[in-house]
Amino acid sequence: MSWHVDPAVMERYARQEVGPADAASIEAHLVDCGACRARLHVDPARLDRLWAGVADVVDEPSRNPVEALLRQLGVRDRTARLVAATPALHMPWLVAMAVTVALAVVAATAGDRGFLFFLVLAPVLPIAGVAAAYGPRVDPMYELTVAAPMPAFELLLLRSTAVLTSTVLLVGVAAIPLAGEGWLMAAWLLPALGLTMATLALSTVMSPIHAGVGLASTWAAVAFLNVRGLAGGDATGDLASRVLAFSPAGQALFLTIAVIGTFVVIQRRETLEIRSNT
Amino acid sequence: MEGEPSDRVLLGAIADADRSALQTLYERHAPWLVLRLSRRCSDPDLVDQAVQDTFVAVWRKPGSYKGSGEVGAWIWGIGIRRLIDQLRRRPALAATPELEGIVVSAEDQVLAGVEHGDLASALNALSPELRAVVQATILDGLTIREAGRLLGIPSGTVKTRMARARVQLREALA
Amino acid sequence: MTTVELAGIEKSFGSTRALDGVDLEVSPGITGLLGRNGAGKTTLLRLVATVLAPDGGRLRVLGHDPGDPDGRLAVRRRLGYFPQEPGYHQNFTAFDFVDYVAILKEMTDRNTRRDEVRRALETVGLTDVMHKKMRKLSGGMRRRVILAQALLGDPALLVLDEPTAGLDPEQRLRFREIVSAIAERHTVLLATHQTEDVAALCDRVAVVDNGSVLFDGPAPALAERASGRVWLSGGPDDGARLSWRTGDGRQRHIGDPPGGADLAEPTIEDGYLLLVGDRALVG
Repeated sequence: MSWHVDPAVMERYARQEVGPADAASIEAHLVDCGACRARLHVDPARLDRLWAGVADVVDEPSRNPVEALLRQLGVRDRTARLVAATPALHMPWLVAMAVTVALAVVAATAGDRGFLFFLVLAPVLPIAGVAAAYGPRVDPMYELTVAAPMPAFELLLLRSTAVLTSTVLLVGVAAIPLAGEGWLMAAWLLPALGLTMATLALSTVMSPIHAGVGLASTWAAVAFLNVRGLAGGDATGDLASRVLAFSPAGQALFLTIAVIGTFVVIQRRETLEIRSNT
Repeated sequence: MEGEPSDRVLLGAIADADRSALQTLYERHAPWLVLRLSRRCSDPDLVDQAVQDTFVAVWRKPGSYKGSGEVGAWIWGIGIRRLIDQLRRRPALAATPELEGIVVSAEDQVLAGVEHGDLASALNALSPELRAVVQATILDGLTIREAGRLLGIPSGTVKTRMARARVQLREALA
Repeated sequence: MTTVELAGIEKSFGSTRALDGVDLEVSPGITGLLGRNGAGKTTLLRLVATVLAPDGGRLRVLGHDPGDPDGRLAVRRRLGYFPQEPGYHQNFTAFDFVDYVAILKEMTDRNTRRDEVRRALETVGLTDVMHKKMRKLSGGMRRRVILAQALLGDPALLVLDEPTAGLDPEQRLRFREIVSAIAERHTVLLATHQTEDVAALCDRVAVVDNGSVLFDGPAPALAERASGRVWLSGGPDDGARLSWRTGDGRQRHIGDPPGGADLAEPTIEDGYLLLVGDRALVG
C-alpha cells in the first residue's frame, strides 16, 4: 500500500461526513487495505450484537436431507433429528432396499414364481429396517440413549414408523408395474405390518436383530413350504393366490398379529429402558 | 497485520468448519461493511440484517470465493446483494439525496491524500440521482437490474440515467 | 447428604458374578472408583447411571429408587453420564452430537437448546471447533465432546467411566482441570485405573476388585494404608510382595520391609497395590 487514508478523514467517513467522491475513493481503498480497515470505528455494541446474530444462525446442527424432507412434511425439528439418525434411513440402506425392490419387481413381471418371490420379499424390508432401528448393535449412541430421560419406547416408535412408512412407500411405488394383478399386488402389506409389529414385540424380550432375522426366515420358510408341491399356473397371480398368507384368511391373520404385537409392545415398553447386551 | 492469517487462509479454515476463523473474518470486515452499506441505505435495521446474512453466507459457501481479487471485494459483492434482497422485501429508504449533497472542500481532498482533480469534481457536479446510478453500477459492481432494485427505480430509468451521466461526465472531462 | 447409596448390591451376568455385595456411599465432591479392568467398576457405574438394574440389594440415587420407573426417570433428568465406550454417528459434528443428546434430555425449545449446547461446548473449551466432524477431531477433543454432553442441563450427578482412557498426559491434565472446575456443588463419580487421576482429583476413593469394595475413604487414607510398608533399595528384594524398578534406577518394594530398609513416603498407588496385590500387576 503506497498510501493510507488520513485518520481524521476516516473518522469523518465513519460519521458519514464526507462527500461522495471521497467516500468512493475511501471505499475502493478499503477493499484492499487491512490496516485502514482496522482503524474504522463502529459502535462495538452493534458489532457484538450482529455477531451474536450470525452465531445464532451458524450454530445449528448440520443439515441432512432426510431431516429436511421430514421438516418439509411438517415434522418438528427435534423429532426429525432423532428419526434422521436411524440407520435404515441412511443412503446405503435406502440404496440397498431400492435395488432389492427393483430386482424383485423385475422378477415379478417375469411370471408367477417371480411374482410370488416379490410378495414374500416385500415384508422382509420393513422387518430389516425396524430390527436395525434401535439397539446396541446398530445405534452407536445406544448407551447414552438408555441413560437419557426420553422414553426408549417413544424413540423406537418414531423410528419404526418412519422406517415402515418409507419402506411401504418404496415398495408401493416400485410395484406400480404390477397393477394388473389387482389387489394381489398389495397382498404383502398386511403381512409386512403384522411381521413388523411382531418384531417390535419380540424386541422386548430379545435382541431386535435376532427377532427380525428369526421372523423373516420363518416367514420365508413357511411361504416356501406352502408353495412346494403346487404346480405353476399361467397367470402371474396363480401361485400367489394359493399361498395361505395372501388369502383373505391369511390377511386377516396378519392383521390380528399386528394388533396383538402392538398391544404387547405397549405393555412391555419398560423393558426397553434397561440396557440389553445384544 | 504481519503474522496474522490472511483472509484467504481464513476462508480456507472456514471451509474446514473453523468457527474462530469466521469470527476473525467478521471482526476484520464487518465494520467497513456496516459503514459502506449504511451509505446505500439509511435504515440501520436493514443494514444490520444484510451484514448478518453476509457472514452467514460466507460460512455456508466459502468456496464461492474463486481466489481472484481481494476477499473484501467478494464480501462486498455478497453484502450489497443481501442488502438489495432486504430492500426488495421491505421497500425502505435507499440513501437519501441529502447525504449525497455534501460539498467537498479542497482541503478535504488534500487530507484524503487522493488524487482527485477533474474526475472527482465532475462526479460531484452530477445530480444526486445520476451520481447514485454511477455509484451503484460502476463503483458497487451491480447489474442494471440490481441497481434498479437498490435504488427503487425501474431498470429502464437506470439505463437512461446512466446515459445522461456518461454524457455529463464526458463533457466535464473534455 | 449422600448422593448415592449402595447396600449389598449384587449383579451377575450369566454365571459371572460382577458385583458381590457392594456397600458404598457417595457424597458431593469427587469420588474416584479405582480398580483394574474387569473389577466391576463399569457395572457399578451402570447401576448408578440407571442403565442396568441390580439383581439384589438396595440402591438409592439422588434420593430416588431407580428400580421404580418414576424414580428412574427422576434420576435420569439430573444425571450426566460418560459411558465407557462412547460412540457417535459417522457424520456428526461435535455440535450435532451434543445437540442430539440434548434432544434426548428433553430440551425441546430450539433456541434454549442451542444456547445450552454452546454453553456445554464452551465449558470444555471446544467453541472454535464445534462445527467440525467428530471423526476429524483428535481423540482428546472427542472425549471432551462426550464430556460436554454429560454437562448438559448442569446435572447434580456426573458419572464418568474412564473418561481419560487413551489420552496422553497433557490431554489428561486438561480434562482434569475441566472436571475439577465443575465439581463444585456437584457430585462426581469417576472410574479410572490411573492412580494419578485419583491423586490429582479425588476427595474420596473406593477401590473395587473382583466385584467387592476393598477400601472406601479419603484419598490420602489409601496412601496411609501403605505407610511403613514401602521401601526403596538398590536392587531386587526377595522378601517383598511387589517390587519394581523406578525411573531413577532404584527398586521400589511393597510388603514387609526388612530391618534397616529406607522407608519411602507412600503414594496412593502404593496403597492400591498393597490392597489388590499381585493381581493388579497382571490385570
